[in-house]
Amino acid sequence: MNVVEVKNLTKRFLQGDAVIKAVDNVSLEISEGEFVAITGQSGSGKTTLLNLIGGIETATDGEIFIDGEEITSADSDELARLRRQKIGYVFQDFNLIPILTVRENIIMPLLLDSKKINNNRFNEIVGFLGLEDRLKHLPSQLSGGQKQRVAIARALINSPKILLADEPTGNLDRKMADEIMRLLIELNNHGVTILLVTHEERYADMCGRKIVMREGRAGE
Amino acid sequence: MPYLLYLRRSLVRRPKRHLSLFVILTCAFILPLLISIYRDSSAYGRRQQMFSETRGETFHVLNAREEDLALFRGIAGLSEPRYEDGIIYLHILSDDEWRDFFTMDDYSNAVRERIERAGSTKMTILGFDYDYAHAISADSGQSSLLILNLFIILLSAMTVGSAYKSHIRRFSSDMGVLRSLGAKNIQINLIFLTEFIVVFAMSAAAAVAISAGIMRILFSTLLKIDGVEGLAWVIFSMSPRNTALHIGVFFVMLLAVIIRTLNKASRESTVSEMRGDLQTFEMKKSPKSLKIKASSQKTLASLWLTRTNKAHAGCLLVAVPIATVFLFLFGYLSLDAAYITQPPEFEFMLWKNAEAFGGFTQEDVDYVENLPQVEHVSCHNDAPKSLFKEEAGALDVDVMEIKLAQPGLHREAEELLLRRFSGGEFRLHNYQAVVEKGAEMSKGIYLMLIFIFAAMFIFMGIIICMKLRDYIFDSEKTVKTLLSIGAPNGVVASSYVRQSAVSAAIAAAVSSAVSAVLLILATIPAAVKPKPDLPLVAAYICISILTVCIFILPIKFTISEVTKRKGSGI
Repeated sequence: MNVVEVKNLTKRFLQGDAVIKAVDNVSLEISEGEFVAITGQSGSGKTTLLNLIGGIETATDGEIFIDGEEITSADSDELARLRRQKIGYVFQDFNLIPILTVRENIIMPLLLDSKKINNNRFNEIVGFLGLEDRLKHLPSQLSGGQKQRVAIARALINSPKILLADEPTGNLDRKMADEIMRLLIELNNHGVTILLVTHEERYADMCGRKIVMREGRAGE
Repeated sequence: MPYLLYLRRSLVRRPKRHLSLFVILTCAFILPLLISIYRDSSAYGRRQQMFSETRGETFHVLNAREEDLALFRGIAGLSEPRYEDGIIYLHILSDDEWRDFFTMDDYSNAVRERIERAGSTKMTILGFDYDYAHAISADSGQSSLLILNLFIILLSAMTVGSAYKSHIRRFSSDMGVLRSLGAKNIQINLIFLTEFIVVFAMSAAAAVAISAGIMRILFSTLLKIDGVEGLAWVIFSMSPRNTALHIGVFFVMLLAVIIRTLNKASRESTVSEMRGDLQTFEMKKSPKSLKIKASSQKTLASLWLTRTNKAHAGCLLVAVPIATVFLFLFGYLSLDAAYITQPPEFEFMLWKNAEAFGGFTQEDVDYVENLPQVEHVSCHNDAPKSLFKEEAGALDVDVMEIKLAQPGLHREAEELLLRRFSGGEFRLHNYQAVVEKGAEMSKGIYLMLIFIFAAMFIFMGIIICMKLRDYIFDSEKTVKTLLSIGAPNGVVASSYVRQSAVSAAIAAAVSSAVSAVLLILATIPAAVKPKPDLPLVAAYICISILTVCIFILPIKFTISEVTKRKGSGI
């Protein structure tokens, strides 16, 4: 079954008088359990495509289905619900909330959804990511790799249908980046569907499938 | 030169910020300046009142005739006598002798002896000490006003200082870049100090012009008091020395606050300055545990309240004193106005020095009773004897209380009463005139309050708006992170509004309660009980609503601005 289905997706920006096609008529399908990498040069449209799929940006044309639900016509509240319940997001600069502890950052999506914390699930994720002894720390007290692991834990806490990762290794040194990549592969082995944006061919090659973006167009 | 160049760039780049600072400083000046002008006017009025009473002379011989002048010539140490309108004036030639109470008493006896030698029963003597005759006022109200003003200046300086702190923080990336290029702290500080001096000078000039203009208009139309017996005179006056002193004190206090802020800023790391990434949230090592509430916005609001409430606490420090001072001033001045304008029991009180001149005759009473404006007269002999005791040594005073048929006819009645009772042995007090002047003044007081209110609320509003906008901009990353992980816009916005509503409610409740207590305490000596009448209640409600709006609206608009802004995240 397709977790993500994109049909003729286009995103145009107006830059001065010029119209820029960041995403140009892209169609793709991602099945459950897949690990897909979107790669390409800077400005090729890979992050824009990811943001469109995650409902962070709105499309100019085309359709996006997440777990069978069409999202291009959804309003901002519906998109927010979708991000809470079906999508996990991991960003390059971690986007952790500085005033929250590690534990609080991880459970924040549950609180936003007014859901009870499933301690088994929480402990499973925290254990998998090796964060047990960091739960009371603030983000400012963590290393880059630890911050990214917290971001991944937060993305997984709601058991999303798909994990969207936008250059999750971009702010890390090679050792840390390799560790994060290893964790993502392991997650995928546990059945998590992942869509990874990266400009590093090495990491893209580790994924099951590779989509190359060039001037807004996608090719495999 | 580079400072001026930077200043010009800075003014062009962020005109709204500089305009806000200009308005904040101008408004901060206005209240101390108003008090200073009122103090100057009250001192000047008091001096004029004393001069008008004493004519700068030591002795007034009342009920005298021009031919009596010869009686008082040639008293060694006293001036040549001067006659004017039934009074002979004399003064002690030596200032040192005049200052000495016993010498003055000797001279007084010498004048009295001349009166007795002439066998006059009508003439009576009034004496004034040196300070009183030279209008050297020892009015304690003046020093209280000065202390109050210094206190207000201190509060204003601290408040403006906190606004400046936000202002400097917004330029932290510029500071970091300049420092990375090798600029010394002193060079960077000089840029901000030059800017401060320019804005300060412009604000001071604007505030002086606005305050002086408005007070002059109010005094020339409604607030001026002169020639009304029973009220202290207040005549518009603005001492350049006092004004300069107030501005100087303000400048020094503000300069101290700003230098402290700049020194603190210079300790920040250059890298974090360049990134504009100063430590916004000074978190304790182990924050309080997160309370999970029934709804997500309540949980978030409680989170902001427990962990990021510093900006709101700062706003409370600004809002509570300002709203309290205004409510207290409003309550006190309205009570004062209500007290002055209370209809008197009798429109006139007529006193006669019975000790020296005998009591009122039946003809006197008949004359008053037969006046067309008079409704009722009551006569007795147990009056405030001190009125004459201090001035002329009399102990026995007759009093006539006069009730008019229509209070509005008091001017005509006064004229007729003065025709018969104009000598030095009489004193006529027109209570109705005091009431009418009080009613006229109360309009002036309310207009002045509206002006103070406008200045204080613009001051408070801009500072709070600045702080709360900065708070939301500082929280932008948190807001965007929350939105990116699926928090609806409305939930995030309402959580911040909730946080602000708590501060607003505290500000409104605390300022209302404290001002009410202060009002009760301040009216205890006058034995007047403050009643919650309509204008007072309306003022409390209005201030509360405005305070709530001042806390909530900037948050509401800024959060919507932040969530709509394109950039990383949403």
